[in-house]
Amino acid sequence: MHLSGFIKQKSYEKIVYVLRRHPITFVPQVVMFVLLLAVPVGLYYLINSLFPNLLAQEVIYTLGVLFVSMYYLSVYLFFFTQFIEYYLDIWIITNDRMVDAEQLGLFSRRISELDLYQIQDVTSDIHGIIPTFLDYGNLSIKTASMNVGIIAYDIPHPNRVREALIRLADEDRKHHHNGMSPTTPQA
Amino acid sequence: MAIPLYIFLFLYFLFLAVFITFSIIHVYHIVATASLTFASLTVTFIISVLTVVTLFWTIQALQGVDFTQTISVFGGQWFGGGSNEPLPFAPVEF
Repeated sequence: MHLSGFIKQKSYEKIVYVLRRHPITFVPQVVMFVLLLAVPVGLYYLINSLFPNLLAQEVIYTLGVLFVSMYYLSVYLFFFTQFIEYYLDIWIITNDRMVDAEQLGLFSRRISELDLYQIQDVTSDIHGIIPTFLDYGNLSIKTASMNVGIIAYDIPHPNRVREALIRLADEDRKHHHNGMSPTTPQA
Repeated sequence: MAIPLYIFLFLYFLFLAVFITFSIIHVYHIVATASLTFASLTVTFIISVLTVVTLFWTIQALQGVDFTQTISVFGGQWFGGGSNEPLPFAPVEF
């Protein structure tokens, strides 16, 4: 499925930004993955040194192979799930609206959207040494409604996106205040 | 009580079925959310390669294993009874 089909892109709509979390935020999961892969190797050397004849027995060896294989496959699955939860958090900004799709778990997904002309406040937050040097942080978008608001987490260049969003919101507001939709031909 | 070794092989196959099911679900999520990009394809490829390597290693390691042999769950020697069955591990000498 293409992005245009995912957001049911309208004929006059143009996708301006497609935002995902900064790749640096996935590094801890990668490090954990590598450490988990090393665990059976360490265990093998430990068992070999403590009980040298244990793995020479066919039954113990067979059970060990099956267990290690299941362990590694589980680690791959766990890592893939973590990647899905990281990568499927997506924020799409068009010239008409903003779509927020968050993957909360493997079988839990939340999608919300708001029209740009309703935006009242846009705030960008960058906290910490690494986010400052790599220029990534959170973007909070608030509307007049108490219930509707979007937070884009750990996106690259939040200040740049904030400025673009304010500009796009102003342009969209002009269309609506003039009684025009982007499809209405101008006089 | 003795358990044949092939029971564990069946359990392993059951685990493989669950693994494959979840892997398909993951790929479906990527495709359904328009997230089929270079990054997601790369990660999917790496996971696939690691899976194939692991399965290949498992098959190679289990070549020639007699799965009809049994594992004794309760042996007489555990309670000091007379039995010629060897202990499951070699005693460590300090």
